[in-house]
Amino acid sequence: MTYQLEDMSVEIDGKRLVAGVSFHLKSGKILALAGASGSGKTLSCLTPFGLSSGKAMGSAMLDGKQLIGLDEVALSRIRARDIGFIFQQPLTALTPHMNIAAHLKEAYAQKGQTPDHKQMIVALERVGLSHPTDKLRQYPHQLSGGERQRICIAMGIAHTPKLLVADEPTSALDAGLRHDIMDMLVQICREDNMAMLLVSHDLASIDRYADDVILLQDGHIEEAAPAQQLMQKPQSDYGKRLIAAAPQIDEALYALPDVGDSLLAAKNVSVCFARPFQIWRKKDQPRFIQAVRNVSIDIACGETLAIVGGSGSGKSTLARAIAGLGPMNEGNIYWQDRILPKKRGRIERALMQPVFQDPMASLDPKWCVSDIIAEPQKWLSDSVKDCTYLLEEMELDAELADRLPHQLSGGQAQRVALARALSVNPQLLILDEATSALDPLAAYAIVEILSQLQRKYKLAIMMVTHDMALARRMAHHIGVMHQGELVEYGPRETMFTQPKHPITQSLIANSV
Amino acid sequence: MLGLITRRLLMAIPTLLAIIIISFLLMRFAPGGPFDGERPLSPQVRAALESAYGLDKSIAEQIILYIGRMLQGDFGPSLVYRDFTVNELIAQGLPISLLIGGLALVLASMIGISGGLWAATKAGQAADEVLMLIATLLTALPTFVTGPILVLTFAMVLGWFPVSGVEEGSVLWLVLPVIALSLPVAGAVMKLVRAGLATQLSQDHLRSARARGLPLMKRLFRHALRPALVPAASYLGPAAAGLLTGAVVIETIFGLPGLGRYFVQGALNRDYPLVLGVVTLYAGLIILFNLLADIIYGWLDPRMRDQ
Repeated sequence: MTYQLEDMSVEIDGKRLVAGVSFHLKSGKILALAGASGSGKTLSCLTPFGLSSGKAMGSAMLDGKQLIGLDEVALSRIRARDIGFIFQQPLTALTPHMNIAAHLKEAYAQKGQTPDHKQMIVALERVGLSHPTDKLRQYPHQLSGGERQRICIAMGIAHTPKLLVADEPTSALDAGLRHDIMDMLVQICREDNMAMLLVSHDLASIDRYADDVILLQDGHIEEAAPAQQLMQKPQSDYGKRLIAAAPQIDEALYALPDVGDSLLAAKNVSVCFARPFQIWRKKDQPRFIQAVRNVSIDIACGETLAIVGGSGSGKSTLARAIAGLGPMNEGNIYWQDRILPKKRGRIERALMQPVFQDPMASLDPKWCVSDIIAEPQKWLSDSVKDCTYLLEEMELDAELADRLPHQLSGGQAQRVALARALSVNPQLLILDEATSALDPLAAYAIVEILSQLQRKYKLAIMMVTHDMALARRMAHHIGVMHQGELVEYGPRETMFTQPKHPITQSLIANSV
Repeated sequence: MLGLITRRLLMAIPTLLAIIIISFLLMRFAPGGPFDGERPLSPQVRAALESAYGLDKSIAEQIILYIGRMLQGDFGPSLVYRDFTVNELIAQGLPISLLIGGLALVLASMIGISGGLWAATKAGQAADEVLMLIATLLTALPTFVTGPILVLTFAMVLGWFPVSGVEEGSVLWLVLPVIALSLPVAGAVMKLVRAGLATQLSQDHLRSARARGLPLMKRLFRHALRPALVPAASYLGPAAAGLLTGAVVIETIFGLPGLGRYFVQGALNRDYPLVLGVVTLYAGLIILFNLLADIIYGWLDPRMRDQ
């Protein structure tokens, strides 16, 4: 099998978003398309097969057959016979009213096969799913994200395609799962001698999976090289910046600002949620979910504390309890030896400000940037900080002040959210995965700004993240949470050299 | 599933009780009474009638007595149709209403779903626009406009169907009332199905199905239609109860002895037991059809089963 793009371009509504992309992919090889968001990697990968809203031009040859210009019927025949697809969002990629068996049957039907029960069991076992007989009867919403992505992979390879197109197959998954799933995917590819076109913004692990990498920026190829060579010695400026931006677990430790006196202390915080009402509750199911169990932490002036853990470990719930935004059933929060009241007033609110994961969701879509930034001051502080000054501090253009959130990029929107949080001179910032929805370059810019601000204002930061390497880069102290408990807590220097708890060890191992 | 059904049926009891008590009180507070004819009755006759029907007792007593009898399946005597009980009147009218309403429901669903599907396959084309315009017109035109137009065209000019009434041993008399009754519902269903499909077609799982090379028809039927029917199902639940318990306008236009006219006549004549009987039946059917709609949701979208 060969798949060859020659000077391929993509237009949407007459706007050229991808220009002059060429590459060559053979059986058994894995080619990664990488780049920041908006670089056109997904468009270049899906458009020749007719799966994006764009119009492809140039040449895309699959085994000597030109794909560009084919009608939908011919393209769908090629997709069904020769290509397997795996998409980014396993949560929505499966049809909600069809059980897993029906999905698998449909995947096999692409080649006119009707799989028997045994064949389907084998297919599910191959992608590492336990209890395959039960899984066949289950519906997508009854499975976890990781399980669903495994089903999607089983479907993608059921008809033994020649080429597998995987569009960010693991970026919607929990960090701990990413390596398992990618390892399995690559192994299957190698075993079946399939070619794989992998779209990824996870540069840190590309050399582990891909043979060759193409770096895209603003719709054109910036650099193309064997993966290992590109990771070790990037030639282009863009490649160097991208690779430096992504935190590495083994990079040299950044110098962090000095730490002052204790600012905030949370003592024995517990949070539990009532389970949703169910008539037939199983006997062993408790009435409440203990989301945070007896956690105590300290944050000093100018200190960064990172709380890390897998999804569902209770790290965000803890941050919300401390910020006074979520419930807290037991424990106390002290602010310089004073107990903060359960119901926070404007003075307490101004002391600490949160920034959330999805900047677009946390900005009012109908408000312009200057109004967004000015709002907290109206309620929480008497000082009036100039919007232009705040934007400047975030390294944003003053002319952005009149824009609406949807006219901003993800990185810009998150900086606006940060400016809004800082407008009331808080002494503590609470960041809940504030950089994880951004591409490496935008995330890096935010991290840089934060460290400058921290030095300038002696700002304390509590950050919640799943990214160990980011925590190592930014935080003085790191707390590891698992199933609602703080299982390990310590300075970053010893956390990575002598991790004690098995959860910490596995988090570190998964970051390499 | 069993939990849902038991819970709903248990909840239906207080709901029905509340509806009965409120309607009972509303009827009594309305001015006039069942025996206020054009000719005033002598006080003795009126007192005798009121004591015969138990209307001289206190309201609370009357409600308790009524509910007690109703629990035994007895809706009491009609105060205006003197020789009939309410049970008999309902037994007379209900079969015709059920027949016409049931057929109209089936026809409306068929026209609505197939029209919505067809429009979705022609998304953005002229056929789609025309179909949606027709759907809007159907929803907007009241049955007292479409009914007479149908009668005028197909009964009086073309003479294919009878103008009105029930004909024993024939089904032709059903055609026009069923069509007239179904058209507004069909229009609404068509719009809901079209909108539901439009939402579904832009979902990720439809792109995945497209990636597997499935042709449009298979994608529509296998992947999009079932979840797209959820809004239509929630509309059809209460709509079905309305169709089945008699459409007053249609029954009047086509001169059909269904349940609908008892509703109107009973209310105008202050025939307390008749109105209460029909209201209770209607409320019970609404509860039943909402439950059915919820059960159908579970089939349409398994995610709702676990909620």
